[in-house]
Amino acid sequence: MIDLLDKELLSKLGSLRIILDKPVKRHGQGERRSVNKGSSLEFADYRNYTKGDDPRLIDWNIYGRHNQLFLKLHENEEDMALYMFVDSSLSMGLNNSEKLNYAKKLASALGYITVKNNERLFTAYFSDRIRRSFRDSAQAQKTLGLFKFLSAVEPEGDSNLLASLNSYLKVQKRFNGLIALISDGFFQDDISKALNLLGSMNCPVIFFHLISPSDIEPPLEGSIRIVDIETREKKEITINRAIIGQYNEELESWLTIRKQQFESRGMKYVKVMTDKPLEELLLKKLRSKGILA
Amino acid sequence: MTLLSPLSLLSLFFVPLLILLYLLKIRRTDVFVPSIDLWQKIARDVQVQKPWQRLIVSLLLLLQIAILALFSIMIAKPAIYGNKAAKNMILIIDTSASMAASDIAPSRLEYAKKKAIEIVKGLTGNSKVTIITCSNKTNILSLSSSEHSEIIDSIRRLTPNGFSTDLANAMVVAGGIARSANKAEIVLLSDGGGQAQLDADYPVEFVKVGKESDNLSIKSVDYKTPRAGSRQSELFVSVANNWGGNKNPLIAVYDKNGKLIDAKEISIGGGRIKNVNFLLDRTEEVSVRLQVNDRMKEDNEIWALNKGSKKPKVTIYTNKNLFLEQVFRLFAAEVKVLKPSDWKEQNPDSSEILVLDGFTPSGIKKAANLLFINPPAGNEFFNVNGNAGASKVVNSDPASPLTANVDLSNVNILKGKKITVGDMTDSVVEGNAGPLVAAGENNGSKFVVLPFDLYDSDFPLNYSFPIFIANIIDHFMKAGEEQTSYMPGEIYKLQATADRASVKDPSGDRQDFGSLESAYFDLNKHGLYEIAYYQNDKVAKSEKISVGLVNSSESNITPTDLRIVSKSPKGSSTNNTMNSFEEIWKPLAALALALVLAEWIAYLRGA
Repeated sequence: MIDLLDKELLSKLGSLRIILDKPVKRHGQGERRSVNKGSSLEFADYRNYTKGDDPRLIDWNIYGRHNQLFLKLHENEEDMALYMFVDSSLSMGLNNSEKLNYAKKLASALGYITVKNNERLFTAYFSDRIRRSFRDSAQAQKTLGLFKFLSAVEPEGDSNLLASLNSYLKVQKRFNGLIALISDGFFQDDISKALNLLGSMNCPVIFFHLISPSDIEPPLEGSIRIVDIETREKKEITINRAIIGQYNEELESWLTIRKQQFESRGMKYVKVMTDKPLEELLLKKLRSKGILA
Repeated sequence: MTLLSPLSLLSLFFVPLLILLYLLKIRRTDVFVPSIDLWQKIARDVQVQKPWQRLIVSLLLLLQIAILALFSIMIAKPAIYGNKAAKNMILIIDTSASMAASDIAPSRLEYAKKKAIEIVKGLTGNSKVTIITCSNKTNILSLSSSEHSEIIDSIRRLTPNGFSTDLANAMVVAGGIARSANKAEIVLLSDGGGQAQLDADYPVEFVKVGKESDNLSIKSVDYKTPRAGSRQSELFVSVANNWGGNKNPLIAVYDKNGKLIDAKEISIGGGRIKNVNFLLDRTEEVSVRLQVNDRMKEDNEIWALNKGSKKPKVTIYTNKNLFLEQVFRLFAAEVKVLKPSDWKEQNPDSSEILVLDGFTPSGIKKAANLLFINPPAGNEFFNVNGNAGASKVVNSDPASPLTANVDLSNVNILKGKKITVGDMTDSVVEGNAGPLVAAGENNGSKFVVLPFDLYDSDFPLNYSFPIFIANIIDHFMKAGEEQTSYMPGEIYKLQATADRASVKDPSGDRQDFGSLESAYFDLNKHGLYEIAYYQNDKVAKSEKISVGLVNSSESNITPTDLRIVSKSPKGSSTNNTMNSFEEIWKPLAALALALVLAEWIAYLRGA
């Protein structure tokens, strides 16, 4: 815990909560509005009584006026569930795991906020599939377990988002809450299919796109053979100022495409520079973007 | 335009080598990146498993080929026809002792070197230069070379050698070279060597070096012990003032350990010579130094060697001869008397004088000095032709040192031997029946013959007898003292009377000579040389020689307006036109530099 987040930051995170733009479809009873009609005090709709319905929900006033049994439906206020998928592929481990370490801290912070607000949390490390996962009930005393889980992972495998989501859905069938994706965006699969799948879940999605300084200015020089850390594909190249210039253009273009891929599907895209303090991201950037309040 | 060194174009061979390097794949280091996708459009190098790759003609390659080609052309020495005429320049540089004079700071030779370098630098690139140095010998440092930078380096390395000057010989050598060359010019850089006129085969331009004549020198020294056994010796020093004004030098005398023994200040007028005497405790040698502020130091010090009288070791082979024993004991350091039957081929105890009384051994090898008395027939030195009757002295050689102060007119000889003098023998005293005293030299040994038994004459009773024997001893002992003073640059011939010799020069360096037949060494250094002759691994004889500038024309450093009279008019050498070229490497070098810069920029920009 101490390795991931310091006490001062934790104390600041305690007063934050995650804001959802659109209601979560259905989940257990909690403090959130649900698209499912439930038994809270807030009225939502009526429907005909059918056999097996709870008779306590029958609106006896309507029955008196119309002699028909209607069930009074209320907005079902439920706990928010946060689904965090953290990329632990080999590309995240480059340069002393600068991106993976940052992802661990970001996931810890978001998880802490979630648990602190008595909301449900599902966290998973993925690369070509779900590697490890952590599920917790809304009990704040379980934060230590979360931090231990997040700390104990090493980079491995190549990142395949679609395969990872599918490996989750095989077990859980669906998502009921906010989906947070933390990755460097270097996916080996066609990300469009993965995003379409996520979009079909009708859940809010936030993509935290981690960019490290070595992505902006690769520490390369001379005549070298670059090797893709995940696919092991090789290219020979002689680094000079012009080559670096071209690389930067390619990188900018790629970042723009990634952003459009998420935003065009109504998903939130947050570019995260790993050389910037986490506190600045959480307390300023995410608040200004309306993700944290 | 032409190339002065066209073979250098072979270096263009490096161009295909450069292209080959581009064809070869570089061994690259693997570096991991998070995704290769971003590099797909950038990485243009083709990845293949072959050790070579397709040649990509890049600006970088073209620039590197251009730089290589330019350097190849540069070292081929491109030149264009120039306005200045090429020459065959022959520079004669005087390196004798007087060129060390400091009247032109730092020295005359340095000034001459500077002038010579200026001349070489002023020549066209393909002019040929010959450098001749002259002192007592003439040396050709470089012959018709167009490598001007090397020539300038060799000029810079010249130092004055402290020897005398022989300009005439240098003129002959230079003239010979000039006659066989095109457009030859001879320039002599010298102080004139004290000469006013010089004949030469070829016109010579004389560059006078030197301004003043302020120099004093030791003109001569003589150091000797007047009488055998004397504890004191006389030193005679003669000092010359070659300058115009009066000088007051101090003449200091030091022993071999550098300790001051005596000193005298003298006053000497311009152009005068002054003699000074010292009476010193007897030593083998002293160093005489002239302490004066003048322009040349090399002639201000000389070692003076004591010429004697040295007492010899004498071995007398006789059956009995009291006269001989007694008279030699007067003058010799040690006298040994042996019977003829004791004779051995080797000289016992390294005696300097062997007296052979009535006895001539066979097989005398490298013997010491020999005094034959009443010799029997049969020896390799002279012929004995029977007996002679009574005789008196009829003729005596007054110039012979053997008869100095000796009156032989009253000497009577009862009987003796008839001897015949040959090529190596001179009759010194003639009697009625032939020579009564003869002297000669054979195989490095001096010998004197008295062809009569001393007991058959009244000579031993004559007052002249001891003087005569003393003269013989002086004559013998002069053998190693004939010349003890040499000029720097001279050659010394070792005596072939021992098995081997070792020479220690003034700076302490030793040189060993295993065989003494035709053994020579150069006297290059000023000071004292010590020579040790070994016989059977024992020092049989040792001697010292002094090398210095004494009584040398070099001491007269007055620069002369040397007039060189040429036997042939100027330009009489082959006058074919020599092509004159001016090298144009400088603009090419600038262009190469610019290309290197462009190549660097191209590399940075990733061409």
